[in-house]
Amino acid sequence: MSHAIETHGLTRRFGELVAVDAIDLAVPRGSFYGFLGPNGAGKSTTIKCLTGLLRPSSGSMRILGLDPARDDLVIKRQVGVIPEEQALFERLSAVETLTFVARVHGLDRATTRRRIEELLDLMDLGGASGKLVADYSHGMRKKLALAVALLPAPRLLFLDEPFEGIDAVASRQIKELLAGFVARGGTVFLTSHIIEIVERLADHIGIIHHGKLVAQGSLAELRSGSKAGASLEEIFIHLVGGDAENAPKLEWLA
Amino acid sequence: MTGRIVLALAWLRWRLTVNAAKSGRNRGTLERFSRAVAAAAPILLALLVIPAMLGLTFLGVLGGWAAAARPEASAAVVFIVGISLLAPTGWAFVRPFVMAKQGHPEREELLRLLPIPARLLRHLELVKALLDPLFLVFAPGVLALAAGAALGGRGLVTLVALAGGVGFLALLACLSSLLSLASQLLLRDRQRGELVALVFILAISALGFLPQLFRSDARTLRPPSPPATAEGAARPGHAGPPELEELPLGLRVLPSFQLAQALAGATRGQLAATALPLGTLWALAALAYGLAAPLHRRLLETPASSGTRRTERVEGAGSGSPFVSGPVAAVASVQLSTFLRTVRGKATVALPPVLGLFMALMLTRWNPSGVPGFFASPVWAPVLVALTAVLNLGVLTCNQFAASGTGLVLELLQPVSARAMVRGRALASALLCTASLVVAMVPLLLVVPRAALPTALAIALAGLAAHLAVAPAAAVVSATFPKTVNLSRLGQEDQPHPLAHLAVFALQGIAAVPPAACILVAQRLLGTPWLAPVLTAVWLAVAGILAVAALPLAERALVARRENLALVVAGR
Repeated sequence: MSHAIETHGLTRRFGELVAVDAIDLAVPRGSFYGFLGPNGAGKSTTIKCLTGLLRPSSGSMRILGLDPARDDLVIKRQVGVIPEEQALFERLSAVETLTFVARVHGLDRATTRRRIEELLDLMDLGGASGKLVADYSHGMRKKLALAVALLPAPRLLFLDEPFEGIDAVASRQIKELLAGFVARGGTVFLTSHIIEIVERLADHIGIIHHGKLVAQGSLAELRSGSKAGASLEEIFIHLVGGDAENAPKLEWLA
Repeated sequence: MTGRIVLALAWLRWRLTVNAAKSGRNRGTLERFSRAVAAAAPILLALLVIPAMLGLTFLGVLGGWAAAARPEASAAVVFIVGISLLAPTGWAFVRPFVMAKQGHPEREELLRLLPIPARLLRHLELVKALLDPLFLVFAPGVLALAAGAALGGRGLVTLVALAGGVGFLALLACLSSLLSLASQLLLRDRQRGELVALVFILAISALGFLPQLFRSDARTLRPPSPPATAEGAARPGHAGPPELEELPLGLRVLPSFQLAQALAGATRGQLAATALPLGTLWALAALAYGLAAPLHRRLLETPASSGTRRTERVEGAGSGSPFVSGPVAAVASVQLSTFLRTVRGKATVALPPVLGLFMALMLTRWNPSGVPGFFASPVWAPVLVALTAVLNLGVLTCNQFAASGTGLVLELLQPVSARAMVRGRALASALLCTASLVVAMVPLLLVVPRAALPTALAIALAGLAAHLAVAPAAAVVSATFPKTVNLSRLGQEDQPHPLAHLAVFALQGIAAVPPAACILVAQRLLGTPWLAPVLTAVWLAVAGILAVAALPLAERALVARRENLALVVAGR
């Protein structure tokens, strides 16, 4: 099976800290890949390396079969990203932000207009499309970031906590949209702390802990290695070493 | 409980300062150096405060002693007190506004969520005002007046200096605190705040010109001549400072002159003349303190609002122009839009035309007779306007990448090459410079004498040439020393990295030499004034070609530093 994302020994250091430690990702094309890990495990650093925001300290990677070091712009034309932190111009409106993205992707005027209208409707941002991003709430910014990622009709989506701060109605619509995107052959690489969402949407899972990839495979493969009927949450907690029984109980808390 | 909260808040302030210096330990050498330089600036300021404070304390003691022990010097002392304390008085009015535009609303929000009495939070504003570096510099000097007067052996002067000094400082702190709360209320609506900030910047800039413009004496540029009236000549003892009563009313009502008048009354032993200004100081302080409470309550109890911009038209994607590629045009267009929607952006573009208009009005009333040197020629006006336009834009261009904020990350994630990012920004700033210079120069070109027209035209072209020549270096510098800025705030928050600013400022000076030489050669050596704009236009073309040729250097710098830039704008 060809891979949308493939890394070998991908490592990223910040001084003494090894944020990502020689991970070998294999994300099949047309899959919904859930990338899980506790806070500070290295999920966002991995996404930043894969999307070109950070250079790996060592290791190699191929995105959609291409080498990011050589084909940076070719890859970016086929990829949509919601990064961990906001990546929006504060002083542009939603329409202007999307127009900028359309222009740099070379979309024609009619396509741009149609896609912007549909995306703004989907994200329920139509009423605020003329407001500057500076005046947006956290959830509205997240929705706009998702619209930005979807606008150029990418083949691969990197979504870092896309549902954070998004209301239930929009969240459901987005989940359906992403499922449809994968059904049509697109690939989603998603990180989320909401394991239920990942369990429902993802068909492949990777779990990172202290910068190392501790598990990877289809959901069925992960389950086969655990006790029968284990939920993804149980598998995750088992792998990252969570110890609920010995955790402080805060009995002073009324 | 209050003491515990105050200690906790002092500890918070201390940790925020210490931790700010600690950040960036896991970053590259250049970024660590860059942060160290940026962190050193406030430390240098603090080091300057101490000797200034000591010096003014000494002068305060000396002044107090002279006022008490040397009757012949007392008039001069009280006048100097009134004049020198105009600085903290003026700052008491300006500071709240500047601080409100550069504060940390999220920190204020957190404090409001904690169990801290509202009254204590309000008093914190007073403490902040008193701990302001400028107040810290002047406050010991003000209090030292009483110590000096005590040394001079005059009980009344000592008492008045003490009561007046404390009253003066209390008034400034209460006034500053009141205005700070008012500013926070006014500025918490983003659009309203930005509009007010823009008006504030333009007003402050124009303030220096207004007196010149509205003087009844039309010779605006002529230095003030000494009084040669018969009355002046007949008052041999009047060579010193004027009597306080002779000062304009607008000056006499200010707190610093209230203190001066109280001191003057005390040195003359006139209790009545002392009581009124002293009472005014204390009454105003009490009024400002009293008004702060309802204002603070309103600030806490009413929600902040945010402005809307109704431009919901869905625009199509342009495909660039015959001269620039689509991505370059897209980057340039976004740069122009985002920059012009910030206070700094609006001020950068609006200031030169406003200045040009003022200069043009001044030139219409201008009389060169008796004006020495450079100012004898009307070309000083276009020189000042061009300098303002180019220097103001330098503040943007030396931090052009980080100034995009997190929008820069959006660009880095899109299929936009480093070439398009650099060229788009260079195009945007060149367009801004051209537009700003053209609009600013039109009124000047209409009013300058015909003989000065070619030079004025050449100066406008020289300004643009200097801007273009520096563009590649500015891009390199801004990739090397980025700083997160908020161009809609005032003070440190809208300022670029000091090293970047300094480097671009120096380069602008160097870049101004060739076009200045073109003008001098045409006028002085060849004696053909109309050759000046022609030569400068040729240099402008050369500078443009050189700039375009050098842009790949900036592109390489951007590629090398893009990771650091992405981290800096993300606040890492």
